[in-house]
Amino acid sequence: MHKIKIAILVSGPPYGKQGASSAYQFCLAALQTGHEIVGVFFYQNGVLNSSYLLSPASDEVNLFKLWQTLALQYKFPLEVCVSAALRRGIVDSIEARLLALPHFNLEKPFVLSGLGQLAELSAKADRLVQFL
Amino acid sequence: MILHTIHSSPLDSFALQQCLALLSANDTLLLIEDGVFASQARHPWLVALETLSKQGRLRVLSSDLKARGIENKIGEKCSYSDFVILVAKHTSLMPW
Repeated sequence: MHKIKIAILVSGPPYGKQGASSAYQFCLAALQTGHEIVGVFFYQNGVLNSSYLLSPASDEVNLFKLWQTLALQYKFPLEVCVSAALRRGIVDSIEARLLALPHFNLEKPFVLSGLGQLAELSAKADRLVQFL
Repeated sequence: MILHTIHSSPLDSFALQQCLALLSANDTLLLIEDGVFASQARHPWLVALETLSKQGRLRVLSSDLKARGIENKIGEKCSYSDFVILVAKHTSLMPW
């Protein structure tokens, strides 16, 4: 079968909606069947998936950890829209310093980025798949 | 040639209704998440879905059916890997 490059856009939160979890399962199926994920872009409420302070019960699925593991294993970027993130209290160490905030909650492999990066990801990919 | 994904139940939102109005002749409809309810519940767009189903253009994500404890009455079941194949086959995607 013809192998394709796929970019993923996640605009749904980790809890209350299913989109983020569907996106993860889609990525897993694509990678396992030999396709390439060029990157995942978290936008709107999707940025809430990227906080390392998310602490679900230990016997529950931890979507944050799953994204982290998958991205490191298959070496694709996890890009988080910076303006959507700051509005929702998702901050990396640089932004925390600039805004004089006492804490930050975003670390690698998640990175703050902008809509220009989404355009670049979709230009790099054969298909852009969005999950709400 | 577009793959349309319906994410919500037709009893919850107008997504299915609006998508059907814009569907082209070689597009495919994939019901996922709460969208899978459209393959079982009674609603005014069932006839349109039956037509799509007969043409082999209606797919339903099996894991989302299973998660809701329902069986599809129309459409062909598909897995996440079938979903990936559908994405590769179509030129673009449209989530509803």
